[in-house]
Amino acid sequence: MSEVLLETRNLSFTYPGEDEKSPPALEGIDLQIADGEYVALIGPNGSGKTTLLKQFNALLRPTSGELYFDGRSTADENNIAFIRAHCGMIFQNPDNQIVGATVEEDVAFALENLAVPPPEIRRRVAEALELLGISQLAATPPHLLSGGEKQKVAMAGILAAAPRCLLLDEPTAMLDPAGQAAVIDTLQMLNRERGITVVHVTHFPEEAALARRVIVLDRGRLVQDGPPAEILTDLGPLRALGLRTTAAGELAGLLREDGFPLCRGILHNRELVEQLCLFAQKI
Amino acid sequence: MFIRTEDLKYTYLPGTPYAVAALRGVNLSIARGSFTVLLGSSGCGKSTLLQHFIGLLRPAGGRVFIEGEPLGYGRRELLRVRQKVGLVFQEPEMQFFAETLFDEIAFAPRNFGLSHAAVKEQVEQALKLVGLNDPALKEKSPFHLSAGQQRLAAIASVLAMQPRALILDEPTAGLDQAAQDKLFALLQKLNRDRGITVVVVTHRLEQVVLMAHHFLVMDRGRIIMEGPATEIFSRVEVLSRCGLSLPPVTRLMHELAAAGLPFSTALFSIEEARAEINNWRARRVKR
Repeated sequence: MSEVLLETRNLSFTYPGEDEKSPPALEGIDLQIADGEYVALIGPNGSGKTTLLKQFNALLRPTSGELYFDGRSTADENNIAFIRAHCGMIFQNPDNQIVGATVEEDVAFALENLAVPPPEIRRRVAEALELLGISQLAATPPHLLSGGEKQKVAMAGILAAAPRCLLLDEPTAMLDPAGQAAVIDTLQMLNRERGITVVHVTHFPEEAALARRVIVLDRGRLVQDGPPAEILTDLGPLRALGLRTTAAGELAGLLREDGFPLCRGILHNRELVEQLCLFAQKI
Repeated sequence: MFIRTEDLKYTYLPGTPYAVAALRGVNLSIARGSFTVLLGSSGCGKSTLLQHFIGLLRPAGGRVFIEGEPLGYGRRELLRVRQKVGLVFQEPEMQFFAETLFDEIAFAPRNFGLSHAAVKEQVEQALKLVGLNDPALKEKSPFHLSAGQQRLAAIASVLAMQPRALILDEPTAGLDQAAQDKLFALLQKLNRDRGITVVVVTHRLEQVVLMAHHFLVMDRGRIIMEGPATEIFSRVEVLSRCGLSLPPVTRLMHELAAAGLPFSTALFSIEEARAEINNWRARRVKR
């Protein structure tokens, strides 16, 4: 078992200024995420996904309970810089986090603020651009880029700071299919090859199905936690929350209800193709 | 035809080293009362094109026609077209500023100079159309609505001008599935029951493919393909060359067919796919 990177203990959070009658945004969250995990965080709008993500890098801090990053509590002011340096956040709209006049300037922004020596900045910026396949855009002003390219610039800016954990809040919501694929492929590569922990908030079942663990939030509470083949094929609870699964998962579930002999846990197209080909051979 | 363009051209930053030809001769027709989806990868010119429909951008070449008349760029002509054609931008709730939902929706009708009573009437109709007519909501701050309600309120603020056409740029970005379903159900209702011409730019095809009559595919500043879903989504190579994908169910059917299973690939809903596979099973079991 790898070591725990993120841990919440009975974490609750109420936005300041909300009247006392309104329910807390998060309530009693107990959760451990190991170093190197790939977690999808799903749930309806208003279920607390973004609020929880912001707790992970101390943009928000618990009203009660604790959150630990690598054993350091976000309650202690002295830990905040450390936590943010190792826990990078990508938002839905890259325009909200791009500040530089050129791509390389933007990617260097965090490093400059962390007072990294200039030759080291140059090396790490070049490496981050290379890793995301956007070296050719180094001198381009970000406003001339497509949405997918901008999201890659935002990710390069985070990666240049060499974080151990990436927090992503619906990073593909504004992107076209090619941009969506580029971001998802990049996340998988970073997780697999660099061992970076990924926590990915998404409304898209196809994206959640690629995680190794799916956590479901509803009205501020953690209601389900398990591998995608388990959580995303249990259609009853998903439907109750207005959530869907993948096309293959949905279709396999309906065919099973119709008495079609399919095994449980089908989520990806290739799995349904395999099962139906097997059926065709047998009959 | 409700909207038509003739050889429409537009270049950003013309005459500078950063000049980008965003529209390179767009010819299209959008029928009155139709439900049209505009597809294309980021940067292909979709948003630039939409802004031409209501004269927010002035073409460098070619023309826009609204209901057969060439779009003029004088103040009064622009006012008239903007009453007729409502444009809902990406993340429209970012433009909220009023203190109450009512005032937010009333902003455009008031600006168009309607009487107090007429404003009230149009606001209430718009709120009713989008299902936000609960009297308790009217005095609430638009910032305190849920994400799904905010998006619907933004659409209501455009509907309050009682436009004949509604154009939406990525209307479901950031919404959960329940809110997406609600929004598309609203668009279908506006189109079918009220005859409002609907044009949607979206990358998420699962719901819209079931309701749209017509698809336009844009690539590098031109319309390269158009037609109904059955036609557009059979041309997989062209789509993938433009960086576009198939609706999820259609893609699944393509993969099943590629594995040698005898299924139609022109299916767009889970229910159609379910029936296709069940029929196949029944035929095989009988044999």
